[in-house]
Amino acid sequence: MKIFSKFLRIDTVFYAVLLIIILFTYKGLFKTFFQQDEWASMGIVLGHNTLLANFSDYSIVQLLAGNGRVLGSFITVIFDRYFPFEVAPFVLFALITHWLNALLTYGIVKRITRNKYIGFLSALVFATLYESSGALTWISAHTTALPNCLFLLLSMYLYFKYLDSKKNKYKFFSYVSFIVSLLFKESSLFMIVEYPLLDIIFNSQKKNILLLIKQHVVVFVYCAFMVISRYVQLKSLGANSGVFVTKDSNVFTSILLHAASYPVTSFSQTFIPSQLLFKVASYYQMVSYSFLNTHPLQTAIQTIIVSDILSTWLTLILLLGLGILWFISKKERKFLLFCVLFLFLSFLPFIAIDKPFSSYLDSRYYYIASVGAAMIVGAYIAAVVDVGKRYSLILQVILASFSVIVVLLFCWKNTQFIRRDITQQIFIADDRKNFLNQVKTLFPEIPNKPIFYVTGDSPGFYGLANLTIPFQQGFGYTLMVWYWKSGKIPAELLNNFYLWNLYEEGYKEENGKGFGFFWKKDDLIKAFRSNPNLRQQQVIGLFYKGSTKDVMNITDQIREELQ
Amino acid sequence: MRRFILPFVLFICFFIISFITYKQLFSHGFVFEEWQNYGEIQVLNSVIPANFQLSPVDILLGRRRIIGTLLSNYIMLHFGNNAFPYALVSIVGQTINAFILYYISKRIFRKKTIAISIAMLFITIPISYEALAYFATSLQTIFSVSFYLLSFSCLLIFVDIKKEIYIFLSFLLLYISILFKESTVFFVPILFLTAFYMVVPPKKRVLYLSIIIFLIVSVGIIGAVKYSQSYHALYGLHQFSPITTIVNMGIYPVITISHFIIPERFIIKLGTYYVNNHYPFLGWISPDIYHFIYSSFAADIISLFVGIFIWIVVSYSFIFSKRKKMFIFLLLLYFVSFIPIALAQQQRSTGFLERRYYYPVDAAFVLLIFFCFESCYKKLLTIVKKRYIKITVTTLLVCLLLFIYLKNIAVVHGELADQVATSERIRTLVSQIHIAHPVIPKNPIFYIEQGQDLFPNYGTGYMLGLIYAGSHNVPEALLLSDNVNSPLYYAKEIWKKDFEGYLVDKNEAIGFFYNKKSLKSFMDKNKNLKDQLVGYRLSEGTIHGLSHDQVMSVVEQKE
Repeated sequence: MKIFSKFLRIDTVFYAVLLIIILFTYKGLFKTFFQQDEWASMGIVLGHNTLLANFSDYSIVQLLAGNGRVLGSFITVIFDRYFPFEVAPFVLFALITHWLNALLTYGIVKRITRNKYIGFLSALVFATLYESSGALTWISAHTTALPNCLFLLLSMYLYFKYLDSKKNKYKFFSYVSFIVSLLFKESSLFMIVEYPLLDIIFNSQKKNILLLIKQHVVVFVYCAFMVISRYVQLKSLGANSGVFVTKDSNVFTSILLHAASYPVTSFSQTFIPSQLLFKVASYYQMVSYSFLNTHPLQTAIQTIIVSDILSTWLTLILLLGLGILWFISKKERKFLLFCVLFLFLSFLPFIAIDKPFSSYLDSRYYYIASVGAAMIVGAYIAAVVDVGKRYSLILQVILASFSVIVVLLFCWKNTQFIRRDITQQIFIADDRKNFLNQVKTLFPEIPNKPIFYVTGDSPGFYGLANLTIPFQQGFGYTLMVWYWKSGKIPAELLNNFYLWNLYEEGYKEENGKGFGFFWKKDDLIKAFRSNPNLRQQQVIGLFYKGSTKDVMNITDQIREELQ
Repeated sequence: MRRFILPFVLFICFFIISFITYKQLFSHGFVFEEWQNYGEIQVLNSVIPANFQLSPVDILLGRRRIIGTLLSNYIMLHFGNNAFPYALVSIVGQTINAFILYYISKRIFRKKTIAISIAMLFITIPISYEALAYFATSLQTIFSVSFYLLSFSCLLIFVDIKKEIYIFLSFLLLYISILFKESTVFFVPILFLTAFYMVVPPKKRVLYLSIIIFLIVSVGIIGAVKYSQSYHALYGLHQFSPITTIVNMGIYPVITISHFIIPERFIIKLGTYYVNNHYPFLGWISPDIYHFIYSSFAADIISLFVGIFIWIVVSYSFIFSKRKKMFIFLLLLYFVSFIPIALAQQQRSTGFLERRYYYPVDAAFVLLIFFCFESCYKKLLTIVKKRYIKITVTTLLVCLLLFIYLKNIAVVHGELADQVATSERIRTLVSQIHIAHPVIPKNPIFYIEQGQDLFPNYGTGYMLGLIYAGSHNVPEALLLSDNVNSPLYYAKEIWKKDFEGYLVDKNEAIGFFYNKKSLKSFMDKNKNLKDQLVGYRLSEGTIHGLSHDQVMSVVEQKE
């Protein structure tokens, strides 16, 4: 009975509720499918045929410095190798990690506010926040962004334990946890500032800068090692580094500008779903910049510049509100300051990245920030309760109830947005699975050195008029991965990402095996003319009928045309 | 006698600083709407414009800026297109305003040094230079602010000594200010609230306030909108939208605070840099709107970032301040100062407001900034213990202030230099036109080959009409402001730069051609009008007269 009652304590209920809410929100993910980069990971794993598939390009020193996101990649390799073409292990891993992250958010907020309910509400906000949901809805981020955040939160949680108990073992494990988080992804690099901040804000002992640096020398040294290693890697990549970091020639100027603007604009964006902000931005543009009302690029400017301006405004308004709370609530000042700084700093690791054609960064980059946002909500409720307490119990109850209702409505709305997004993804995933299954049904066996010709009559996918099939990466590469088991696909082509780019086509042979893919008939004919060794029997022709989503076999027709 | 020496010396000093800052105004001529006023007054030979048929109610409500306009027209009636008196009035007005602000600051800060610093900042602040340089409304704007400042100082005296006569005086002076120009109307609620706060005993304040709030809520948004619309109708504002006004009221005060501190050119420069680095793809996506992106979006983003920083400093100063009520009062004054701007300038074509609109806000801004500055400075002195550091900090701050004044003066000179060059060009053209043809026939048909783009703001045809307004041979309908229905009304076609043709209204007419073919084709059909032709030749930017025979040879030339 005693065990039962202990099990049923309120924390356990909170944990269960959080799990249920996460499952309810994200359950649709099990029905999704590989999107883009997942095919590349899978191709590399199949091509190398070893658990160390992703690490062959790096030295041990580089791996220790976090290059190649060693731990995240390793988990991906395991999943891809033992559960090929299965999203379930990824999704399960993501949901559990997300749940654990929510629990750690709960633990941290509870530690700071000494209030379980506020901790729970913060965790709820974290679990359901829309803007960071990209980390869960994009399979490639499951094994990097999520565990990175898990170990980051763990390191913070342990550091709070250290501050409470002054036991060095907590500090040690906090550092270990932080380094582990960096081995998943470098997004937690901002902890280099957070550690001293935790000391300054929550440690009552007197501190000066030199002492703080001395105290966290391990963190500083490791981060410096990591940054130098990454810089050397980017230098060695040369022009290719532009794929990952800002393409501007004046990189340092761009980085400085990003450092000033990203935290300011992204602060409010963490709370506001992009669709909503873009809608308000369009209205704001029409009111304040009406000279653009008839311009053909009106929408693009609304979603980029006007949304940036609006986000900055909203950040200012949020800061003003929090500043007023800070001013009137003396008890929660430390917490308010900490979580605002946490949210700002969490964007610093992304300053080397250019934004896509939008005011928002990619959704997954908001994942750590969402912890800050959740803590801000917690700090807001704590401060409101504190202010109410000073006047009367009734006021306190009214303010607390109002805040809780607002937070619950906020979470519910966010959940709706997430579920809507996942439903859309399921539709896309169904199309892709359907396509690939039809191909497999039409051609369970492929000829030696196969050459695929794939075309269709769709008006276009993802805004690209020439794209007649529902895949957002090179379909040649996708087919190589899909038919890998046939034993007729050259591993070298997979390892070298041959046919990976969207409109890439061509034919190549390696070690007696070959593979080709064409989406333009003229190019296929040209390839046959220029290479007399190619035979019509190698060709497989497919036609995707957009209206019925059927894949048709046009092999005979194509082979005839090639004669 | 000794009491008057310091004020007198200060007044002279302020005058000298105003003169140094705005000395280029004496080289400045008429550029824009001044020419319209000039044309009308030349025709009417009276200070009362044609559209001044006002009812007593209109006059009492300050419609058409009755005092300001009449005074301005009086100068124009006596001095024609000589801009010297306007420059003098602007500089003297600026001195008077700085002097009143000095007294206000002395009352608020209780320190002469701060008061002098504030007055000097007010004089040199570059953002509102146009209020002095735009002679069409400079007198109205400047003296409207003078009376508003006088009203403000009466309010402060009332708060100090609590004699009701001062609040009455305050209202009266503010009313006179509104009769000069409506842009100080924002001070009415401030006056009302302060009077309420001071006159109503503390115990009854809650009751009265509840009644007022109840009334405001009852009337609600509709009332506010109606008020705005009546304001709109009363002062002839265009494109009024309540929602835009509310949005503007949120945006303008926050963004604009950075415009007071950083010169416009520098903001645009930073904005350009920001856009190039932040949105590099916009350059090739949309070259046609790149200019707008620099001057509006980019400027707004930079202003907003700087604004956030300034408002954080202001917030910190508020925390340090020991006179929080005064702080809130100045903050409120700063924000409400933007009400007329939010109403008048519904849309911005760049990230900046019309420069002259800033003028009534200047006083609130300098007072607020110095209040923050004083709070932070006092806090700093409590933290710093060592005397030599205190002296160093103070010296540095004085140097910074001096640097700001000098920089401001340089910025004003830079801004005025452009305008002076433009007005100089206009003046030269006007005198060349007069020399070329001192006398013109009735209902003239002007011809200047390729001369459509001679003047910066108006079409050449309309400007020629204005230049010869005093000859009484140009149609009155073109020059008077009440002929809206006439085809000759200035705001119609003839204002445009590409206009050419012949406009007739009753017995009056005017024509302008810049294209040989158009003139020839027109004259072929209207040979009886050949005596009305007045021709000019444009050669390397200089205008020369064409004799009647020369113009006729153009008309009769065979193709």
